[in-house]
Amino acid sequence: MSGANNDVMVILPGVVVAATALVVFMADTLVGGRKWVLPWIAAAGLIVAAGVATAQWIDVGAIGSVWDFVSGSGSGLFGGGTAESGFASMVALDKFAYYCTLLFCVIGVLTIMLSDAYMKKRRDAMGEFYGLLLLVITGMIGMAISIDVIALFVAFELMSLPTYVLAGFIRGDERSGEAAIKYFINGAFSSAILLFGLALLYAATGQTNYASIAAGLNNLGADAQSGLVIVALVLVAVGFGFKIAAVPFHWWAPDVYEGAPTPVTAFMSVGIKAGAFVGFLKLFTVAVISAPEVWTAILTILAVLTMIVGNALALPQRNLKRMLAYSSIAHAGYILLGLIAVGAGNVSVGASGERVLDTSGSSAVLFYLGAYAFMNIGAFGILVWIRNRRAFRYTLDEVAGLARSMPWTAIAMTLFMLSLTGIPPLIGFWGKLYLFTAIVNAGMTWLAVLAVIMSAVSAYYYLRVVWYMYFREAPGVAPAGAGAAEAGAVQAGAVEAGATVAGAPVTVGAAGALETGAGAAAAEATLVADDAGPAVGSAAAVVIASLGVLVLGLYPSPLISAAQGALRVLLGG
Amino acid sequence: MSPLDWWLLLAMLLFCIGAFGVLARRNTIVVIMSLELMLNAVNIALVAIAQFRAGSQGAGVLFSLFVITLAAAEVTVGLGIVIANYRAKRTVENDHFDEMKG
Repeated sequence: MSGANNDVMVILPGVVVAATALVVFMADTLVGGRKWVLPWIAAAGLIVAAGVATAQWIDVGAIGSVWDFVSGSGSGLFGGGTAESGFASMVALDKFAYYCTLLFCVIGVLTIMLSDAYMKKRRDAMGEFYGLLLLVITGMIGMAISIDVIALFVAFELMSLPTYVLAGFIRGDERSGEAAIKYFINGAFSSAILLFGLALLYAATGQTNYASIAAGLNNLGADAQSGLVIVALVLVAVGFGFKIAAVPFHWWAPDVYEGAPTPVTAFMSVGIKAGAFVGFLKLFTVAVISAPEVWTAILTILAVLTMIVGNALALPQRNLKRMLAYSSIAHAGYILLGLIAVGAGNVSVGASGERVLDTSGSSAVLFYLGAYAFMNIGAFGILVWIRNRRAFRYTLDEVAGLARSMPWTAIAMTLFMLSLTGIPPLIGFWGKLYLFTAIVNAGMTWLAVLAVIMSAVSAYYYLRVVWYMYFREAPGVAPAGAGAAEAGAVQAGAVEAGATVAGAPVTVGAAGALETGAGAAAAEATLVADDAGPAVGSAAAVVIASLGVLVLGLYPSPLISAAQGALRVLLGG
Repeated sequence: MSPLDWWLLLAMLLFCIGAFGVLARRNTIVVIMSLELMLNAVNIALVAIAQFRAGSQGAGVLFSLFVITLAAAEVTVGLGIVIANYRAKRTVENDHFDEMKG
């Protein structure tokens, strides 16, 4: 199963994305003033990569997955199956990898569209932005295909390093620079801890390949519970916890999410989290599945703390970016339930002594990552869009009266908030349903009860946004000026509605009229609306995200079957 | 104790010194140096495991080469960020990075 052809085939989607990144970097110096082509090149590269992954998915048909090894259907990593590994079993193709590649490409395209509003003002930095974004996505794809701790660590760093730069992308801005340095120090610290954990795992088993580590731990027998393995797993879990911002390793997240440019924040909260989750899902459920008690216990502690603290800290936030940052921490806690479900209940011994791995927990994780991508990118997209239309400091007070001034935006935001809360029939509901079902089936009902209670708590801060948008007047309106403010708001609303229908550009004057009329934050208005015209791409990203939340919510079966198909175990059909 | 245990002990000691430096020092340049110390401590462990552990197939040596490369990339990005921050704030002391709280 080796040979140059196979090697390249295995990493082909990643190669396409990385090559596109290089093309973007080069094109940046060649296109002169026509920088607008760069996002199109980047998006085209991602679409080609997604196409390659889809073609491979169809081509390989009913192959097995890395989990076949765990299920005992064969002696090798792929059972007797036909799945392909490359580079001396460093990376492997399976449906799991395809699903993740597709998901990452969708996240990437949505982020590129979303950044339209933001990059319009920074045309000279477009090459770096899109190139680095593509490199992060390459790293994320690497996380999904790696089946060796060396490949995992390289992918982990490839995913992390460009993100540090993206977080500090607004040069000269103190908050952005602070976000970058905080993210860098915490990220590099967690990488080192993860690396030490992986090294100890190597010390315990003498192997770096997932399947060989699993076999090595099996051979250790009772020694698999030894101090060395436990310390290794704790360190790996700490490195992982940092990356997904699980409590108590979350302290960097709110500052970084607030200081980074909003499109980057959207990408970090969704993309980096998805990349980390799929990489460690594979590590935990393939390599160290023999010691499930240890890592399940560690992750359970993390999940409980993350759900409680994340939701509790989100409650008082009045800055929407910070609120979404803490809520993103809480969501990491929900997703952890899927991982715990794999370890807690589902590694049972079958009739003939083979290990049977139920995949419902893993597929719930994959489904939730897809669902979360749509609703969270959408929510951040709304912030980008409002910021594109008028002065906006991301505070709760500023969205008061939004239902009147920007009715469509308010409807979309309501959709995302309801979906994040988990209200049926939106996609967030199905995501939570699958996660909670998986954890109940794994026999940890108390964890599901806690998660449901915490979801109810989260309704407070999500629905408060909706309440402000619909039932609060715009702030700073003196009684005498109320008429003028309403006139301005109605005018701007009318213009926005017009723009939505006819696609006509909204004049800066109308946005200005709203600002003057409402007097919104005029006293401290060092921020002005981005005056580069309406960002069509950002609006389109929000529209696609809301369609995703709504349509996939009403008709979730394609995404569900994709998530389940990604994990189909050969033996069980 | 076997030779491997001594090497792992040395690696763990260096790793902890590095971790202490990251957590306790104020100067971001020193913090980055401490991060490098942590990574190099792991390198010692990896090479020692490859040398002394039976059946380890030398993968640790390969791993440490990757780590050296990644550490170089990491310090490049880190110093770039520190310099960008120095231009904005005229300081590399990390207790001045306190714009955002709560």
